[in-house]
Amino acid sequence: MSTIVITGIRSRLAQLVAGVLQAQSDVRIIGVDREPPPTPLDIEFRSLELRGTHILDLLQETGAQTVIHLAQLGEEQALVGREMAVSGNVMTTIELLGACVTAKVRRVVLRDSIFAYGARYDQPMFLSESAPLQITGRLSPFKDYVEIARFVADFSVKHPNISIITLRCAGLIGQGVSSPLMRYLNQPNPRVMFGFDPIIQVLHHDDAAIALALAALTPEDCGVLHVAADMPVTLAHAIRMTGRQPIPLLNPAFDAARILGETISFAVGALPFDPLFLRYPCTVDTSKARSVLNFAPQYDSYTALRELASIGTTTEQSLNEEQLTPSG
Amino acid sequence: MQNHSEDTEHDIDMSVAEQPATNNTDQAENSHDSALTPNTSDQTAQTSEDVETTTVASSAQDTQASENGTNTSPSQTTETRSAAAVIEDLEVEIRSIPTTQTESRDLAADLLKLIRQNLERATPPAAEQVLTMVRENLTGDYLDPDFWRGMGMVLQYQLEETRGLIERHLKGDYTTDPFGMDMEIVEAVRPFMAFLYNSWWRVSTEGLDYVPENSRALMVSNHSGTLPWDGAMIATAIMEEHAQPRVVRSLHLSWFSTLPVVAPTLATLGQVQGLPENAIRLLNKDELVCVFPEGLKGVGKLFKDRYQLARFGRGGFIQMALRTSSPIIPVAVIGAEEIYPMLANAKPIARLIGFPYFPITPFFPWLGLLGTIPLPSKWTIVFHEPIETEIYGTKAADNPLLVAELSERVRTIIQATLKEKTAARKSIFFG
Repeated sequence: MSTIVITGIRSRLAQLVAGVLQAQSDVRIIGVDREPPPTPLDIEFRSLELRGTHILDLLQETGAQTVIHLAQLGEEQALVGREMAVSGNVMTTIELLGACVTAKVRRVVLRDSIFAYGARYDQPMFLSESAPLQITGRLSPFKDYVEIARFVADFSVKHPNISIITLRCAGLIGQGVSSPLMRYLNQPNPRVMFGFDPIIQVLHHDDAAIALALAALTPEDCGVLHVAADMPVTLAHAIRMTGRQPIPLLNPAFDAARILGETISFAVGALPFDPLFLRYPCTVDTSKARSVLNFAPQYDSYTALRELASIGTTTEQSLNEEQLTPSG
Repeated sequence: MQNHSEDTEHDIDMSVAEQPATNNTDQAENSHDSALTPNTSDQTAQTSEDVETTTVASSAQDTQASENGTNTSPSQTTETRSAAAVIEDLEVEIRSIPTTQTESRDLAADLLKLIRQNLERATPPAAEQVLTMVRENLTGDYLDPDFWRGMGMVLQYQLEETRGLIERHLKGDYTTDPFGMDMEIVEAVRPFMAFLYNSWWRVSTEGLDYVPENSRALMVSNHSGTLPWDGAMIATAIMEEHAQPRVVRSLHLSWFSTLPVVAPTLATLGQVQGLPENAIRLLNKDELVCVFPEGLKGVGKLFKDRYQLARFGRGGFIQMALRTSSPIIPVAVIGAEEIYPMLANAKPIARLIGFPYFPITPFFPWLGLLGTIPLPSKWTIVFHEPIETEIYGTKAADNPLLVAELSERVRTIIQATLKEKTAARKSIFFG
């Protein structure tokens, strides 16, 4: 009987992961969040502030061997303030890792984003896990992911007894999913940069849940893994497949929106990531996850994006509801 | 086209993309080729008897026939074939007219060929429409202004036809490969490229057999001509004349990826940013990759330096070939140096607009956009015997001496051919 703790259980992704893990026999799952989820779950729930000592108490009490950390800010909820993001993402992860080492947890699964590689004009396509990270833009959670990844790289060298698996995921999409990419795609007319159409990768949330569950169960110590749907498409193509039309804007419009903020942002719309990602591709090679986790996504980009076209506005409503609930 | 073997995702794309086309031709061949075929062959017989009058007469006849059959799909598909056939007849007819002005005659015939090639992709109703237009407006007399007006109408109609393609693209109803290549668009520009290849530059090739049919290979070519038309023509040579037509993935300068419109256009046409990682990925998927190691120093060459190879980069292309055990095929392009004779490089203007060079040719910038029409020089593309790299092993990529030696070997081969071919040709424009 192994015990798995999942943080941020209020999020849809965490609940999906719990669902996948429950299908496995011989696993005790404990969901952790600040507040209980709106609809009760059929797993054990602990209401907890994600601070070092609280987590340590929980881990020691339950004797958990594995922790899946999914309580990142800026993924499920829309943007939060910079200070809150740093304490909520970077500090929480550092404290969590510290608690895990003290409680002799064997395995920690962290969620990360492929946007941590940044967008640059001279960046090769389909980066490997060893490619250097780069902060593009100042927006959470992508900036935080880079900071966390740098910390983890150092931390895992100093603490060889704990195996930390970072799943660097492509933008999450799917029905009822709230993610930066979905907030962008859900607009009636997502803005693109005139004259540019980078290749993007997406990931269906079902596939993400399976990958995270596999990472929690695998005996391998595999470090960073890339997870993305097969058959990447260009950004405009992706928008069109969801049944929307992109509006091209010139580059200066994005600069103006950043400098002038609120007053002009209606022209640019929701852009939960840096405009550079509308200009240059940021794509990853997923072959390592394929071989190490034996993971093959069920959805390719085409099926995942076309699924969005059939659901339309219902997602927007549920999205707004989720944004309104202030929780970590 | 058939070379994207290792990439399973892409294979799926391809089969999806190609299906409609095959369906059409199958239909046409299998089911209904009886109805109107005798009619068409009658025409051909007549046409050969008397050149001008019959075409006009039969076109009138046939317009009626096609109007009658508009609603039934069987006749439509047959029309697709007969439309192409009629245009081909007209083309042959024009080519056989004895005249002193061979150029304008050939141009008329080539334009017809362009229309015919386009028709092969068109939907049956569209093809029928074109057929009607051709019959109503085109006679064998290419000197008649009406001929050219008719030609214009047909071309305009074909342009409207591509709107269907665009509309489908606006709905996102298409597929691309992982690097963004869209085979439909590649096919759509193919007739235009073929026109440039066959009629504008009248490219002749040597050693096309050295290019493998479906395995990986790295083609290394000299670069010239201010705008990279040489890459386009190498790709067209493989598409049009190779036993197994396949898409050439040319590597382009990273700088192009920073240019609006240019960047996505290149990607759509199958060009890939020239980074070693990208090239190695493509070669490992058994693609046919083309690289221009001279880079900017090649295309931005002055006219006085023509056919003098610049430095071959830092040998990165040799490393790519060694790491993937790909054979290197040296390619020499003769003729591209003359398409835009770059007399001077206006460096201050180039710096001002952020371009690597700003060409001053006898026509550009003086004639504006007209000055960007390349001169119709006569081209020769020579593919050389492949240099096998497998014998050196993949680790040899880290041996700078071997890399430099191989790089020099490739350069010498290309330079020798350039010298030999330029010395042998009598005229820049006629070979």
